Amino acid sequence: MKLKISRGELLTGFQRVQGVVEKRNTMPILSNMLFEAKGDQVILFATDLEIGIRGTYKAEVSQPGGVTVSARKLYEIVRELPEGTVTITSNDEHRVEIEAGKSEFKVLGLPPQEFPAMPTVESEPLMPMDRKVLSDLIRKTVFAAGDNNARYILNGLLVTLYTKDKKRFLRFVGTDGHRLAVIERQLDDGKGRGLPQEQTAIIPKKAALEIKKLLEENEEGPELGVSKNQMIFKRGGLLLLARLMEGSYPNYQQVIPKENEKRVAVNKAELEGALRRVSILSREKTSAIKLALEPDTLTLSSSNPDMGEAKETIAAKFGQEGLTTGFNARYLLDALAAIDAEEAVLEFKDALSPCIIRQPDDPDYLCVVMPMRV
Amino acid sequence: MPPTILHIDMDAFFASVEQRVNPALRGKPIAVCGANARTVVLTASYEARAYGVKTGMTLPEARGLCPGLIVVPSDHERYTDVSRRLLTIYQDYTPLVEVFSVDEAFLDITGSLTLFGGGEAIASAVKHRIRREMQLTASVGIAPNKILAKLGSGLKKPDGLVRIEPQDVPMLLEDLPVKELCGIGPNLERALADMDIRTCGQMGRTPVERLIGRFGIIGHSLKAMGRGQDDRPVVPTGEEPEAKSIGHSMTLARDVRRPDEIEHPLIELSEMVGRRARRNRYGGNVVTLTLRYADFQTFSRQRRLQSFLNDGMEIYLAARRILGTVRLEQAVRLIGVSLSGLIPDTGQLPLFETDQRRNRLLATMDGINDRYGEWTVRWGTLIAGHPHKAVISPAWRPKGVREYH
Repeated sequence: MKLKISRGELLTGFQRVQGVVEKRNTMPILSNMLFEAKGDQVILFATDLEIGIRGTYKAEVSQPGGVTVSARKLYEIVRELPEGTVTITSNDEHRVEIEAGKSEFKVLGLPPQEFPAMPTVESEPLMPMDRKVLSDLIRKTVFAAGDNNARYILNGLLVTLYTKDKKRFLRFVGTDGHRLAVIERQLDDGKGRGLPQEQTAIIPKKAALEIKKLLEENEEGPELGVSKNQMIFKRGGLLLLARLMEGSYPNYQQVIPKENEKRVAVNKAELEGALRRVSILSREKTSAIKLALEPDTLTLSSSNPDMGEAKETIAAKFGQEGLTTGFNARYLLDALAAIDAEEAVLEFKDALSPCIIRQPDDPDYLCVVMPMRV
Repeated sequence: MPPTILHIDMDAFFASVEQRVNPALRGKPIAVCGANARTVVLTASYEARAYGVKTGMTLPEARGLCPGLIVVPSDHERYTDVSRRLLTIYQDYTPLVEVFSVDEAFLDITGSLTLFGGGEAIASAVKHRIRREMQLTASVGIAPNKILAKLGSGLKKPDGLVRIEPQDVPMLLEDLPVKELCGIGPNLERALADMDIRTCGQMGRTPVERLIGRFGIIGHSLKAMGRGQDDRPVVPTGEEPEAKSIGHSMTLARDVRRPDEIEHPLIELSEMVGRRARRNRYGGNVVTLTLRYADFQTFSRQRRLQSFLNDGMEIYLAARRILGTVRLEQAVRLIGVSLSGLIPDTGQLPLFETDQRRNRLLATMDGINDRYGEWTVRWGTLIAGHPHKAVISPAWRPKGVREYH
């Protein structure tokens, strides 16, 4: 294999695979990526057997071929190279040589046959998505999903496609058993022809986070699809496949309170600041804070028997009889971070019932947080 | 006044308790073993020790040495109960009693010397009461610190009483192998031997820089130990720092190769861990699985979870996921499950009704088992097996998170 490629193109490709390659050393070859040169392009593929990412990058290939090599090391090398052209060759012993300017690297690789095969994409119809819409769907729910939760299925996002009044909607749900976020977005008319009327899938949180990263590259034209056992994200020559999670997702609709009549509107930045400050002195590891609602104020407080205590009062129009409850400050901060408005609305029923957090101008988004006994 | 510390070590504790309860066992070689036939000898009576039977031997090994050996399954409730009663005796002489394990305790009697007429007088009184009230014997060491007191109690077993005076220390330690000191296990012993340090005298003369260079911060303690110095206080039971983990392990009825054969004991151990965490109102977010192969090679793998939990089911699910990442190279002999990253119950309420119901169910089960004994109500999966009786861990304490019975 021999090729010339621009350092910028290579860096983009290497960056994209970093999040997918396996960090734990269960199967050493999974910390490698597959590097293939053919035609006028380089194909990069990495997988942890749950998620696979494959991208194509423009290159001048003088001798086609392939090799698998440490994804981390090659990324570190290319990151430090100056702008310009990089020459990459590999020999029969699968040693990869990287030359750029005055630098020269030789990195040991393995034959490409040893790398897991790229999964084939079944010819499922993909739906074209607005970049901002897909980004919101993920960003506003992924924080609530589990991270290494003992209940495996909660480490995923529930994705539902449904049709109402001949219009297509996509709904994302994330929960870790303590909090929940739900968002719905209508898909543009006319898009997604050939898609089923209804479809449900649970996608791994890691895949959602990788897609979110790819969307931050600000390139338009993402497409999304779900086949029988995998989720497909496509954008031009870039493809991310994730194995769907199997299991039954909890009945989330049941836990969205219907009778939370005690509403309070607060300045989001002010509440976030107060939460961060007060939680500094909350009991270690729990971030437990107390929240006291009065007709015109909201008082946050924390206390730690070994440390001390903190208190902060902010203005908030509650206009009802008082209510005192407790929360994990981190859960509230995560929910507020997903609100794209100056004001956030909190809705309560009583001290031990879940609280709803809403964005005033977005009726199709809400987050539910269960209180703590403090 | 220099401190006066007693170390009280019960003689052949489990075996003596069994012989006290069952007169037919008195004067006979007996070995107390775990409830299942494959565990090792936990304690041998002095009659059995005369044949060479030692703690840690497998049953066939022990029977090979002593054909008439009577094997008694251990009854931990009995031993922990005796241990609690011994504690009340000790506490009549000083409030500073540190329960070191189920059959050992340190007493700081510095403040009660004049009241009871000296160290020997207290030691004799304690021994006398143990004999009269419990029909058991103990060996006692009296010394200015814990390490020497512990050494003293081991010098004349059984029923010994040894006082170690500061002036005796250099001679006593000069040729004493380092492994005789409490805190020096086989690994440390080997590492010291690699540095040509075999006796306490040698360890005490080794320049501290050399010990620190090899062992880091504990180099200081090793040097001090070699010279019979020890400034660790007697920490009264109940005031020890909070537990770092809650764990249980068991030797399987036979070595197993297939991961699915480990499932049942895994559920059982996870339930025990969850139960103990709930009893003490702790939650943990790290689950550790320990496996010991047939050749005694032992290793652990752990998993950090997102939330703090104490439901045996969730502990089991995490342990099973860990097991899924292990490729078993040999048959498994022992498994252990533990929960760490402990914090007092957070008070976080669950969002889902099913979880809320689950919490109520666990509280109800705990209530019944508190009242009518462990495993009175248990999950259907555990009905078939013989519920495991916990082995008393070296970290057993009469109360708090370490207690289990």
